[in-house]
This record gives sequence, C-alpha cells and structure tokens, in this order.
Amino acid sequence: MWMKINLRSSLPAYQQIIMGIKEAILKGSLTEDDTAPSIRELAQSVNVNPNTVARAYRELESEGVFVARQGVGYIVVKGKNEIIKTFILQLETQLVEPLTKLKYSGVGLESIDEMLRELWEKI
Amino acid sequence: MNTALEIKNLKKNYRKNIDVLKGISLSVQEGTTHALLGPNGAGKTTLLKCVMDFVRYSGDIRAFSKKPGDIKERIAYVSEEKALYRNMSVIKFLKICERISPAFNMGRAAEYISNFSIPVNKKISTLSTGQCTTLSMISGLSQDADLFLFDEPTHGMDPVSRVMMMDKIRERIIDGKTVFYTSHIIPEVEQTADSVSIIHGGQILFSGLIDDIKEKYSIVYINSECLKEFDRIPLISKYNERGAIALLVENVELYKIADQSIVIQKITPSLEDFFMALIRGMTNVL
Repeated sequence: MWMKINLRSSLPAYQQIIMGIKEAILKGSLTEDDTAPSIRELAQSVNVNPNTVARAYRELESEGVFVARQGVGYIVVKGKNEIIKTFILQLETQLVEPLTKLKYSGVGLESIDEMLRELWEKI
Repeated sequence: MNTALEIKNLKKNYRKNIDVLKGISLSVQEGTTHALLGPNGAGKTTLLKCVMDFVRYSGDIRAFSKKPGDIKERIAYVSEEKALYRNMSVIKFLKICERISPAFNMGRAAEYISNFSIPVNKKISTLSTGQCTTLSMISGLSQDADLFLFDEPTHGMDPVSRVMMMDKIRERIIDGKTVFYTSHIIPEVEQTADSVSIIHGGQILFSGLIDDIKEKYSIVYINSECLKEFDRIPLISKYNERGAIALLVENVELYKIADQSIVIQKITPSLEDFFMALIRGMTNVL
C-alpha cells in the first residue's frame, strides 16, 4: 500500500493513515475479509513510526473497520458502503476551518454551494 | 506500555549561579522515539550527559526502573562531539568498537557502512563532518542495546544521508527498541519521533505526543484590543506577531469565547508552529 504523509496537513499523521486505509477500501484495493498490511510493513512503506501506524490501527479497530485476529493480523470487516459515512465525517473536520473563514467573511451558503457544484463537474 | 526512561526533577548547575537544568521531569515509553527539542543552550546535551552519569546532578533518573549506571550494556550513547580517533582508519575503529563492547554487532555495522558508503580503509581525519557523524552513529546503532541516546544524530549530514539515518533509527523502533535523541531540526523530529519534549532555558515547556499537538491546540491571531475577551481562558503562550497578538490555546477553551468574529485567523499548528509559539511566548514578553 502506498501513501504519503503530509506533515503540513492539519490532520495528524495517524489520522492521515486512517484516511488512506479508508480510501483503499473505497477504491477497492482493500476489500472485506482482506488482511491489512502489518504494522511493520506499513510503517516501512509509508515512512512513519510504527507506533503511528499502531495508533491508526487501534482507532480503525474501535471504529469497527478492522478486527485484530491473533497470529493473522488485522482483517478488514467493513465494506465500501459502510466506510463512506465515516469517510465523510472525517472530511467534515477538515472543512470546518475554511468554512468558518468563509462564513465570517460574509460569504453566503449559496455561493459555496454553487462553487462546489462547479468544482464537482470539473473533477 | 512500560517506561524505558523516567526523569524526575532533574537539576544541574555548573557553577554556583548558573542553573543549566531547573527541575526537568519527563518519561519515555518503551518502543517509542522521544525527541528533545530546544534552541542552542537549552540544556539538551547536559540532560543526556546526566542520563549517562557523566556529570553530577540532583534528581532521579531511571532506565527500565534501574539506575542507568547499573545497566550500561543496555544503553547505547552517541555524543555530540562525535569524538573519534582521527589517525585511525575506519575499519580499525570498528574493530576496536567490537573489542571494547560485547554488545557491538559487527555484521550490522558492516551493513550500515555499505549503506552510507563510508570508505573503510580511509583515515578518519580525511572524512567530512557528516561522514564522522555517520560513523559515530553507526558505532552506536550497531550496539545490541535496548535504549539508544543520540545527541544531534544528523549533525553536518547531507539531506539524503539524513533521511537514511532517520530510516535506520526507525528500524530500531520497529525492532521494539527505545530512542531518546536531541535535535533542533523540527521536520526531522516530526517525521521520526512519537513524542517530543520542548526544552528552553533548562525547563520543559511541553512534553507529549506529536500527533496530539494538531488535535488539541490552535494558534489564534487577534487585535490587541480584543485581548480582554481571553481573560478567563488559560493561555499557553502569548506573543506579538507583526502587530497582531498570537495566542496558543487549547481547542476546548476556544469555545468559551462568545464572539468568534474577533479571531482574525486560526491555524492548526505544525510542530514547527507550536515550537515557535512556545519559544516566542517565553522570549517576547508583551
């Protein structure tokens, strides 16, 4: 699994790993019943500390995305549709800052909505 | 998780009036990397020397619940001076390391030497500053120790070797070892360390997980006349930044401000922002 941690992001490294795993599930490169890369493997390929990966995995476990199985590792137990909800929730926290700025600058919801639609079409 | 290193109320004064360390307390969990970050003269090197028992101090230091002096074979230390025998060849130096330290793993050292392309037959005096640092670090990393103490582990190294050195340190962590090191290269710390202690003027300003910094704290910029709105809010740091007042606060405290529009800008601090905010709050009194 390949991902790059952006240290300048407002999301801490372990959250970026959680997002990366969820993205992999949404894109289908990780599917239900798959074994996730081991903490050691992912730490080496992502170039972060294993404790950071361990923290992300613990969180994914408590969210019910992973189940830890002795001797096997972490198993993916949630499918695409269930991930979308939590994925959007995490995106929300990232949007709070720019939206707050826009709101206090007097930009109306309509213009943001319009911009989002245009952007969506472009992508 | 067990504690690998526990420092309690560590004090050190070199001459009667100069307090280098003014009551330092911190702990390092086993299997983690903990970086000691601070400006020059903050007391980082002295702190490591106290752990190694090279200087007298008051306070209590425990490594794996024991006095560090009693478990020397489990601790590997690389000093800032990187004192090497200048007239010796690299290979001779490594052989001496092997002879004097039973914990020295020659196989691993040979691997590092080839990874970093250090010329083994050359005299140490012909190596560059960065190569000397690399060689000292190799002598330390090749110890089969449980706790590694490094003073400026990438001093004078080029960016490529630096990244590689950090990878090697990370590999030790993957093996379950503990690393405690000093640095003033913040991005490097952000990428390698789990937790950080920020030290300034012999005092700890912050000690905790790096990932928590982004989640728990904000820096907000306000106009000076709005400062009274923050009367009841504990400020971690307060300083002037180009005419505005910058405040380092916990996120949970921010919700107490009734009028959010007084905030000109709010940022989620990177380790660098956080570090600068703490240090500037100490030196730039309003």
